[in-house]
Amino acid sequence: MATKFLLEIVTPEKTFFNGEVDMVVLRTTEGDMAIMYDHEQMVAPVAIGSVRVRMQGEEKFRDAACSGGFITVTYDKTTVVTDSAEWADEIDLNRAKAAQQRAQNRLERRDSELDYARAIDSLTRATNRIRVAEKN
Amino acid sequence: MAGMGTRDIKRKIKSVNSTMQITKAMELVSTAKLKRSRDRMDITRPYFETVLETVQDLMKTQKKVKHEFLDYREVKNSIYVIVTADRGLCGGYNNNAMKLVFEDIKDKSSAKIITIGKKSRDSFTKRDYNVVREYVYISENPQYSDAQEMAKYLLKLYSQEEVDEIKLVYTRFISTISQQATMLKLLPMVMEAKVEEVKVEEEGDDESYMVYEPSPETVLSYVIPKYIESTIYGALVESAAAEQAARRLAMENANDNAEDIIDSLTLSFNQARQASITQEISEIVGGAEALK
Repeated sequence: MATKFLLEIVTPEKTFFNGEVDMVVLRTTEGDMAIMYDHEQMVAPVAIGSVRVRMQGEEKFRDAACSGGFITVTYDKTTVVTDSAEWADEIDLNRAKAAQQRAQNRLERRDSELDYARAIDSLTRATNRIRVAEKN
Repeated sequence: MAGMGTRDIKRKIKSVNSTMQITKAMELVSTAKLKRSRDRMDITRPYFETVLETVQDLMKTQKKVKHEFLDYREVKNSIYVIVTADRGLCGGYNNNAMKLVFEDIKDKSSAKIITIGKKSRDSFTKRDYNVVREYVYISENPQYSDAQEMAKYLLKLYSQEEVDEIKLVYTRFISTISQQATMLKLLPMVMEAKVEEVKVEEEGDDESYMVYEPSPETVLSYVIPKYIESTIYGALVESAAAEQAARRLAMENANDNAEDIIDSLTLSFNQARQASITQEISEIVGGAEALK
């Protein structure tokens, strides 16, 4: 029995990943979720977090940072649509740290409500990138 | 060209020639840019299509879902998002898109406009339309964050009921020689397109039950803004390609015309030269004749 399934991760800039995988673990707004072959058909929003992909026959997961989107699981394909995604080894750690600092500064100032929400978002994104990059 | 001396014609040929050099250079530039924006369009298309597919699936399977973005309400105020270029010299590209908006707006006071590109900004502000936001210098190289910002603003206006419908005007890239200005209604969402597709898939609808976590409404309120964003971004990218294609075509035509003009000018130059030689000969012959 085949245990692999087709996974596609698309971002506005490019198709980030397209291939057959064994398992994918990602964070939805409701909590972490692992998807394997023959999963129930479903759609769910994806939170800012990591996407972990295990290729067929491999032991280790490949980690990627992902900044929110949604996932669609159908019988023939699983699609993750996200604003941005990058593999752990591609993350620019310095840039993420600078972004984190910037967001923190902005949060301390608390100018307007809109800025606040945006700053929290970018802080979460930056922290997530750093977390994923440093884990590897 | 009658009555022009050889010197005048020569000067004219020279001037047409230098114009042609410019148009030729512009053609080459836009050919290169066109290639880049087409590549980009191919890259972004999967994202756009996936989002669209998900939204359509959702609407198809969950017909009872209630959502503010789906409900039709009486249209009092509309907002138009129009995508044009920053530069001219691209044939009817800018005008065709703007014409659609001009024709669609019946009452200036109930229409808000977001312009993208210098050309539409100038044109709409000059005619005293209510331009609520303007974006310039982004149309050649659109970023996703631009689209995000626009979508956020649009959705805010829509949920505050300041506008009751959102229309997007952009130029579709059909082929390198054909571009079509199109108007698309973003909100409230109508799913009239792709009716055929829906029919085909309907057979399998009973077995293919889709789970929406945590609920269809939540997914919808997340997916619809995404849909707006990606549609705007898709429109920006496609228009960028269409702009370059339109400019390339316009420049190609300009080149052809310049060549035609040069041909006919060269012909009249030769005719004039021949005429002056003939005249000189007949003068000489006439002079010699008179001396006899």
